[in-house]
Amino acid sequence: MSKDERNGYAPLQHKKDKEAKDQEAQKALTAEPPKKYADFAACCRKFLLDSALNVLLLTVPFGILAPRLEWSDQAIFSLNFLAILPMAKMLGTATEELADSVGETLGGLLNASFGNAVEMLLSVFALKKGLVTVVQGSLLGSVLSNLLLVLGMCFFFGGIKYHKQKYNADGARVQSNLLLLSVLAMVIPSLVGVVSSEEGISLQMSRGAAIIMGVLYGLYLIFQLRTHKDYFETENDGGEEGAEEPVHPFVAAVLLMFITLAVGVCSEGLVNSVEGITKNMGISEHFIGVILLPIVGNAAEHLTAVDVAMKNKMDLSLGVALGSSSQIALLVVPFTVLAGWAIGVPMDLNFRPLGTGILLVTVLIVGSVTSDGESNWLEGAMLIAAYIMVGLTFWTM
Amino acid sequence: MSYSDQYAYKPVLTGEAAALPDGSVAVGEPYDPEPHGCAKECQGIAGVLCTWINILLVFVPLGIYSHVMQWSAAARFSCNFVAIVPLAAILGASTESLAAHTGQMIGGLLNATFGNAVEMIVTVNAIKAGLVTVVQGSLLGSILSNMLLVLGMSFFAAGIVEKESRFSAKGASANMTCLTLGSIALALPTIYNCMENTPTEDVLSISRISSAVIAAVYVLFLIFQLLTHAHLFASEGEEDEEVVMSACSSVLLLVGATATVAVCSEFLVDSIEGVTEEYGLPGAFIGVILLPIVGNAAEHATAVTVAAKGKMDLALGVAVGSSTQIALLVVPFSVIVGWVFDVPMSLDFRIFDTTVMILSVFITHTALQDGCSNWLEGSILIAIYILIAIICWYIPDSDGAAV
Repeated sequence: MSKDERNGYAPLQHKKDKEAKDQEAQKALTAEPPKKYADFAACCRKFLLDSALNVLLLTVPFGILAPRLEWSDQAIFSLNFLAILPMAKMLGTATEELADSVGETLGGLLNASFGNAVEMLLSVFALKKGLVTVVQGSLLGSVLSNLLLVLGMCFFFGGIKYHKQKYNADGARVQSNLLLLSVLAMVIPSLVGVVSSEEGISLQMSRGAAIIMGVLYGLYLIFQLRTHKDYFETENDGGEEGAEEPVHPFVAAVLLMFITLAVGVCSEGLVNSVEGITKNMGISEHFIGVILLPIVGNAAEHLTAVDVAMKNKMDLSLGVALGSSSQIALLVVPFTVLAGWAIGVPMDLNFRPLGTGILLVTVLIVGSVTSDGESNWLEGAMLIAAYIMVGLTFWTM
Repeated sequence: MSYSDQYAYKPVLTGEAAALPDGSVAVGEPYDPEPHGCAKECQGIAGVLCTWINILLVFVPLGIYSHVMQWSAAARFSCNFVAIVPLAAILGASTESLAAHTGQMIGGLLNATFGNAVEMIVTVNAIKAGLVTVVQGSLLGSILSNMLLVLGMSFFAAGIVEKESRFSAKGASANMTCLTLGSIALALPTIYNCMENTPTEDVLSISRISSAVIAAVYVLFLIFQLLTHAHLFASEGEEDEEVVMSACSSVLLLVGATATVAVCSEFLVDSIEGVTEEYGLPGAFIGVILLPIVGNAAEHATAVTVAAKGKMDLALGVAVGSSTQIALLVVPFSVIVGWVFDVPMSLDFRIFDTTVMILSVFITHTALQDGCSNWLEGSILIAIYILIAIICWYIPDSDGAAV
């Protein structure tokens, strides 16, 4: 603490100065240019041209006007159905852009809630019309379509290109486990039907269960955004960030609002025409709820998942498919029950033996298919076949 | 170290400092002999008895007194309920201490029997009183609480400390296979009863024969677990447990605790009927949720603390192993006890119980199949248990059950 230091102090200080100067020079060279946001052309490109679905945007004005012009129920249903498809995708893109600018946690929350906006809007409108069966069906159907159809298509199309694909990364494994457990939690309230057949009890039980599952969703968010973030990190985050300029958060927020509004209007039209469809075309409520409606909400994510699977990033596609299902089981399900409570509609989680049985068998199948961490096209084909059988069952109901 | 280095070493005496060949300094520790004989015994026993939870032991004489003086049913229930908790803890601690002496094999067997001693005692008392539905409900509840609540809390506790806990999936799955057998054994008589033209007496005979078969399977499972495939169930790096008390005092403590539990549980069962009337608590809720939590308190506490220390395999062994014991040992035991006392205790649990059991086995299997856990999985298991508990709250008492 003595001579050495004092002797070295002068050169040390000199060295420090030099280092500081060097660093400043470096910084000036590599300094980030002031943040530039995407201009109008880039925005248009990003939102309008990034997906083939967007051609369907042409149906949006027709879908909104159709109920006003009193076209037939079938026309209203089909137009609005087609209209929501691309808007769901745009909603997703806008949410991601906004999420990127507001920081991780808030962004994660945004993604988590707005990602399910379409399902939630559909459910609320359907509940207001008293279509409890349709809503229950759509909850069931969303989970089934993610677990059987999306997964099956990912495995199938990925398997056509690649001999076998592995997906044993921690994140996918944990997510699939969590999903299976959440779906099983969803099934428990249906057991009330075994115990007693009074209407009131099933409702009370479902409302209690909804509160508990809502709490679970909060825990899931903490898990996803805080304690186990690395399970959910997508590989894209690193790569694409620098490539494109981000959209200005204000633009993204405004766009988000408008799209949500438009989706809301179209959903209302869609739901209002359901009754007409069931009477005129003889399609059962169950089929509409279980098969048709979930397509509307999930089509965009389906396409993404399959697309990514064909690029041999099976973990990522699993994350998209499974993450979406977990959201439905833990967020949308309790949300619909609580919304029903608020509106005064008896929405409960009693899926009756058929729905419960199908869910259980699905969990069993998916559990055993995914437990080995590898996939091939035949597994995919089997899952798709299972989904078709479920569809047939509900068609004939 | 070279030959000469070894002999260059001077023994370090107490309090002295000496320089070691590699430059560090060693200081002799003051002489501190381990307590021997009586002193050590007393230390060990004090360690077991002087835990904070044993403050509740004051409820033991209170419970006995309340029964003698015939206080209200609610008071008797609460006093005895609280009294059993510390007793269960002592039971568990003395079993583990005994196991440290006798080794893994016999220790496991002992944990099996005495760990469920409370279960069996409550069962015998209840069957003698003819409360068949209560017994069935409480057995089911024990299995459920171990598979879902205890396991969930263990995962949760471990997950708070460590991001991910790994355990031997193979050992867990052997247990789950046994539990599946147990579920089938419960399901078949129930389904048989639901078929038309099947006389009820047959159900009883079927149950009794099935119980004998299941008990035999359990013996085989013990041989599997303790003899032929012990390596599947071994936890990694199991350190030698400190020998806390001698075998003799462990046994004495064990017997004493068991006897006290027997007394308190008899009073507890007595007071159940009164409580359901006085407080309007649903009978099914008490039988399936409350009582098993009491009976399992010891294992519950053990599993959670051990999991938080990172010994997930051990926690699993306690939680899932306990479920297996109850399903394959206590249930047949109760049927056979019913046979002895000529009480119609059968394996025909109601449809709800059977469905919940099968579902829970499925759920637990899903949670255990990947060999690793985190705190969210634990929370989901706990949430599922709470959902089942809510359903039990709504089960009507009107099905003629003897509660």
